[in-house]
Amino acid sequence: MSISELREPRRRVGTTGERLLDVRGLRTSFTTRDGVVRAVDGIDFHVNRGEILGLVGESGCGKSVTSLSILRLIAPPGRIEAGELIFDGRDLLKLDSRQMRELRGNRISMIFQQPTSSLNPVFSVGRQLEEVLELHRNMKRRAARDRAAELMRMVGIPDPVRRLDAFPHALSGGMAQRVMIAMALACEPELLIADEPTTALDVTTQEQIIDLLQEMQAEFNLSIILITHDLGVVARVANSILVMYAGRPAEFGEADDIFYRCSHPYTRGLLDSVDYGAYRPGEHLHPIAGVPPRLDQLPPGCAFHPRCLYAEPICRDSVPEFGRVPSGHTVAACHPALAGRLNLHRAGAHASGAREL
Amino acid sequence: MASTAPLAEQSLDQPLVARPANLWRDTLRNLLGQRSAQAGLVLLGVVLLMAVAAPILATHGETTNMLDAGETRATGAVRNAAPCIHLLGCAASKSQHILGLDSNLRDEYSRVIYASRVSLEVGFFTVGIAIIIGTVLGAIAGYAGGWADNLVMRVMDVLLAFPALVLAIAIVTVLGPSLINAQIAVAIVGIPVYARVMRASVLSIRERDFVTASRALGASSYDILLRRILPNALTPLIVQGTLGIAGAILDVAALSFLGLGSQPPAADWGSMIGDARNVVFVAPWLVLAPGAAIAIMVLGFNLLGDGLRDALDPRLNR
Ligand SMILES: Nc1ncnc2c1ncn2[C@@H]1O[C@H](COP(=O)(O)OP(=O)(O)OP(=O)(O)O)[C@@H](O)[C@H]1O
Ligand code: SF4
Ligand SMILES: [Mg+2]
Repeated sequence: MSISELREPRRRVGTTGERLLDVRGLRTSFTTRDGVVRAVDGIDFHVNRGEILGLVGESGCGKSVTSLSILRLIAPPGRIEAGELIFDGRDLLKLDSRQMRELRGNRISMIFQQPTSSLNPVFSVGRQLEEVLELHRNMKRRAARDRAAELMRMVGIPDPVRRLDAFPHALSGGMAQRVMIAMALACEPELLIADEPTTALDVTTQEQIIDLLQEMQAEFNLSIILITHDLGVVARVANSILVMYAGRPAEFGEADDIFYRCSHPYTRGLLDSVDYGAYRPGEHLHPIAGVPPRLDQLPPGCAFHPRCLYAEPICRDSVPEFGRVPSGHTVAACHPALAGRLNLHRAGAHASGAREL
Repeated sequence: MASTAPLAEQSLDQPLVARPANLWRDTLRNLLGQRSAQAGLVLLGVVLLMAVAAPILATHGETTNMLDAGETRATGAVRNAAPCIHLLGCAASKSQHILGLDSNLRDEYSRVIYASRVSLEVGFFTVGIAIIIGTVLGAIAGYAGGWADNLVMRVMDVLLAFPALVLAIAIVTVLGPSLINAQIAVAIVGIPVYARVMRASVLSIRERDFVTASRALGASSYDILLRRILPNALTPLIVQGTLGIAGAILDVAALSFLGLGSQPPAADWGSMIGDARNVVFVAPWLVLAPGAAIAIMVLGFNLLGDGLRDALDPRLNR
């Protein structure tokens, strides 16, 4: 597998092990006409200082809701029902809205999937950068402008001083995402949440943006929550990985453990369904059969059981705990894995190791 | 950084423009490049010139009775006198009145010129009031939502349920006939339009990605409303306002025509038409002249409004 090629040993930055964000039992729900939808139901994970957490899962599994919940940007009819968001020792859910506002953009920032529409169309990008600095740093207009140009240069925008006067519609997607990154990093935050920052960009630009994020991470000892569908990217940059399925955590662990010693059938399925950009003849991809369930019609027990090749009778009856597997490598929510009855370390194990229920 | 910069240069979609983009300059350039806006600006320029240079352009006083100005029946100072232009063969013994005299022996041409001031003021004042109140109400309704939204918008619905002019007449009747009351009435009647435009803008803009993005970077609700939503809502408001000026002028003119607005002896196009309505077949110029003036002004604002609508769309800037 080409994962090994992608995962060269990387320089570890920052105080390894120091917890920056600890998410415990986060539960976010939306009240809809058809009832309450638990978009995120009991997520546990943490992000260490200076590290990149990859957040992966199929569309609609609650990745964006998780990230918006961390910033407490869930708007009605959505609501954070329960959980703790311990950021640098303080529970974000206990802060008042002013304290939370001071934190956003200052200590925790976020960038989004659509860079061009994430910028205000009626102001120049320079003005928007200045606003962030004026807001959090009380900078005066002139100083803010100089700093804005500096930030634009930092994120690799050519001719930054003239670009300050450009309007968003005049920028390419890649340039706009660089501007967004500059805005997000203007106040040197400790945590950056990047919600599919490259999905809307072409392949070359994707690479550049990921490189840029990695550079920024090294430069500022920044922690990043990187949400993406691209396991290749995760393989390349992530220190740890959270796999989500249908609003619940499936598996969480160090990136190496997830890639080489995963314990959850869904993780295995994801890994085996991707070609990491280096497909070779003779190797086979094994997409996961079926589609993710609707959140308002979750199957009983383990939500993955209708698609799972390792499903046991207990899987239909009870929801698996999210706990450490006996091998000690990762935290997973799977009955047989928690009972130590599953070994999925081999690539392709999801398909070849199929058993009848 | 050195490694990414050259790559970034290649991935630029568009070459750098020679001059940095400037929203207002771009808008102005777009505006001036449009036929309808050009025509509108010319027409409004004429009206503006009339208003500013009225003392120079007018041949007589706004309210001067020609008998008081030393003219006699012999020199043509009769009620509803026909236009007398010496160049076009009017007898030299008669005094010259380009658009004749009205029923009070006042020079119609001079009155038409002076009345442009009233109409301009009426247009801007009325729409200004309506826009300010409408925008505030619409912003509250759209941003606060819930019961505030319901309360504001139901009141607006009630206002909209009446034909505008009928409602304006009712309001003036309560306030008493005068030009200022007519303007207030027309402004009140105009509020719902701007409130609706603003509310709709707020509702659609608040869902846009850049609003969420600014929230994620720490902007407060106040910042969001004033610096994100309002500037983006300005386009439809300006366009609606420009078009609204025309309507407001017509409405106030209509009230004046009915004797509920501008009071004698002040000159106002609407009341001038109203005063001359009984002699429309005898002295049609007394109706046609102020009528044409209203038409020019209304057309000017409508054309300008259409042009603005296109010019203010930042995506059209090149
Ligand atoms: N405003 C909302 N109202 C109702 N339900 C919502 C709302 N926002 C999200 N959801 C629910 O939350 C679920 C998770 O959405 P989310 O956007 O987090 O998915 P995602 O993992 O980010 O997917 P994608 O990869 O497509 O971005 C959705 O399937 C949807 O049912
Ligand atoms: S709990 Fe059962 S159904 Fe769920 S992933 Fe594990 S084996 Fe599959
Ligand atoms: Mg998403």
